[in-house]
Amino acid sequence: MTASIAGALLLIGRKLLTAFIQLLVIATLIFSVMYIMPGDPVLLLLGADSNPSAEAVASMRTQLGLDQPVISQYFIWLWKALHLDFGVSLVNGYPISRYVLANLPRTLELAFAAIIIATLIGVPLGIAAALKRGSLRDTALTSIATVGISVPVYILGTLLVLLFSLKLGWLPASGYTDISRNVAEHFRKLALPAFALGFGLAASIARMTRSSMLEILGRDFVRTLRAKGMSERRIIWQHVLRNAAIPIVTIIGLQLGNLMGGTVLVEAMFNWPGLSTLLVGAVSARNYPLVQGSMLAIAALFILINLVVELLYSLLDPRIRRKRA
Amino acid sequence: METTNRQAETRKGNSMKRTVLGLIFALASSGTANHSYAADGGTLYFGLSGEPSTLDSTINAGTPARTIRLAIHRGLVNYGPDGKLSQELAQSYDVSPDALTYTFKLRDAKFHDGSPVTAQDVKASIERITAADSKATYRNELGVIKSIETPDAKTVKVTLSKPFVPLIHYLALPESAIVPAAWIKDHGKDPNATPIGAGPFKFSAWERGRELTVEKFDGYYKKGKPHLEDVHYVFYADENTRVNALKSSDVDIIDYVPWKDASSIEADSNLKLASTSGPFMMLQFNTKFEPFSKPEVRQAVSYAIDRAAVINTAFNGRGAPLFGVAIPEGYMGYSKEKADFFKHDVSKAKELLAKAGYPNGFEARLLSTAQYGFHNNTAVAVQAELAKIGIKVKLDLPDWSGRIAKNNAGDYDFLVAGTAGDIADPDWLSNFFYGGQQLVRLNNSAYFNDQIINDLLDKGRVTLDAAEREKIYGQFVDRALEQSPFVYLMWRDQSFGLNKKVKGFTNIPGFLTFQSGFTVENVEVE
Repeated sequence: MTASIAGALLLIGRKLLTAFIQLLVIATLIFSVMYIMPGDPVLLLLGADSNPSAEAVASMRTQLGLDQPVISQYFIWLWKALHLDFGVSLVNGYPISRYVLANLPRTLELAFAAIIIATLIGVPLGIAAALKRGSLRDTALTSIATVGISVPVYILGTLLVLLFSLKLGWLPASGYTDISRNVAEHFRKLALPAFALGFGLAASIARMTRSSMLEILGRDFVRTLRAKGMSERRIIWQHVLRNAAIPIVTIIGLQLGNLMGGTVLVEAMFNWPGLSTLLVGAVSARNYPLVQGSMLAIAALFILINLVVELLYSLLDPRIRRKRA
Repeated sequence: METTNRQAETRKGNSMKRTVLGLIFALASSGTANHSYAADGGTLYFGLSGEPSTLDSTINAGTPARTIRLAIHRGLVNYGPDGKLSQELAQSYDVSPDALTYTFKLRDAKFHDGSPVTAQDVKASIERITAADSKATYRNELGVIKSIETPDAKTVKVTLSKPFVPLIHYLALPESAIVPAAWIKDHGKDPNATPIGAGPFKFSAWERGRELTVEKFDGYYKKGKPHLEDVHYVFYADENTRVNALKSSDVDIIDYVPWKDASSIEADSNLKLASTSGPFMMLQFNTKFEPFSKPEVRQAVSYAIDRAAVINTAFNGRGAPLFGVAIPEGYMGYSKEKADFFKHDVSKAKELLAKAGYPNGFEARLLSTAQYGFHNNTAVAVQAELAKIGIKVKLDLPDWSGRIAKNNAGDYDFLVAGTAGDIADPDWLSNFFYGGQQLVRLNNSAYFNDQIINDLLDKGRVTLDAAEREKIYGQFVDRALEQSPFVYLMWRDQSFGLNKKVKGFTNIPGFLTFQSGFTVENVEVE
């Protein structure tokens, strides 16, 4: 008993250490990429049309700490980042942490809403297809799922806006309303981006559900249950689905991290003020600290989600825990 | 997207707004526009092409920032809806015969904090711009101000170190806004301070990354204005999203209508397009790059390019060819015959090229940006046109920020620029043509320094007599065409898209389209 708790702790500790090293590597990459990119934040900041004098440029550079050697800028930045101080925006002196904290929950909300939509669509479709394997319904559903996986999110998003906003006028084309101001409007504006983001995932979940269900349906115990005279409905819901659930849950968990990538396009397309919107705007303005801060937040979130999913997975399935420990 | 005017270019929870919101909700749900609003009151949703980097009133941080600041602030004078100077905080002003002293009489106006607008505030606001450590965009131009006296609370006497005729135009820019002296003392250096002005709307809230809200200022000095209860400036960096937001009634007005979408907005029975021509596209040359150091070569480029190719490739046909110097009709220096100095003539172009010593053409790098379609496509059109006279163009298309950096460093053979003059006075030309000390700047052709042009521009600045000035700028245009440090390509349409329920908004004509935010004080929503 104690041995297995120690094993679990050791596993968690190792995973945390790996996550930390991953973050450090990513942080270094983020920092270097910004310096390799052409473009000068000082000139953008001073107003490119103001023909800033050489002294004004030099004084701004000093003020921002950009006149120091890149290496020392790197260590200063890393040291501060370790203390969760990401500095202030080059453009307006606004603290990066406030930007990130305001936008992070919106990205998470979008991703979770997409997951929920994807699950609600994907699982029933997958079950429906599995139960009538080889039928017309199965072929149709499988084809739709294949299309769903292949359609790029920006095409789907455009089609959704065209249909639901411009033609039918049911939902707003874009934007964000804070939930504290108007709950209904908040969800109306969440609907299209969440659906656009979740659709591809719904398709993968449907396929995973189908194949996983089929695998379980072919097992001996299902035949035994049928021979025992148990109702088909009870077999499916109580026994098959429960056994098929583990790979489905895993897929959903792992996809949450990948969805973060999809938010880059979806947020831009629907003007959803999340982390990706923040990041894209910051890159255009060469707002180094804001780029670094928001990329680090996205990376940390990705690593954290995968870490939690993996830990949960190994806790759920003792075989994995034992093997790795 | 603009190199000059557009560099690098919250809802309140009270019941009134909930009602408006409800209406918009209903409007969006039903897809019809059958709601009527009272003449006064109401909310305007204004979709902007970007989020301001700063609201610092002395820095030109692009059109979105200007649009918002023109709701919050007023200057001594501003450009009105007709593009003419309009006396705002100054009730009147006098210029001394030697043009060295300007005396402003202030009207009774209040700032948003309730304090009166006094001569002290004007002095502090202008001195903030001209201060040695100031980062103000127009510090150089207003640097001609030697001293400011305040004989009484409502009189300001501005003395110049030398005559400077365009002064009043520079004071009309949004970057010359008057703010309280006390505010400058406490918050002048804080880029995130809540702005206080004397304009029709007061700052209410700024949700970063999303929207900025201003609300009606009851103490505004124009009786009966503004009409709106509040304005939400919503940021839409993506042009397609911005257009969709207008079409689906998420917003009532958008700036910077993409050219490809103009006709679909015109065709929509709920929408209208407010267009003006004023901004222009041009080529800017590095005059140290050997072939482009010769005026004949630059002229050859001008003759070689079919302007229609540019207009159709990059602007969906929405623009007018430009074969002279980009001076709008009605502006000083404009003349009908010189407006069409060049024409599309490939054999003439080849002839000039041969005369300059390049009968077989040469290779050159053209700097533009892949970030904005119209910049990118203008470059593509120019590349195709110049191939016809043997100039092999290699495109250099970094993102906007990278392009600005290369432009400022002189790292180009020639480049595509889209811009407009800042003011309605011909001195706008100085920013582009003047050589002087700093020969590599954003807006000039790198290293171009022509003594005749410099002298004419100097003379134009100090000459009071309008007829005499007209002559000087006539001579300037002759010399500018002969030297052709810029090759002008086209006037492009610049449009706002509006829902038909929006009344009173004006797209200010000519160069001043980027200051149209001023007219939100006249806007009503039905």
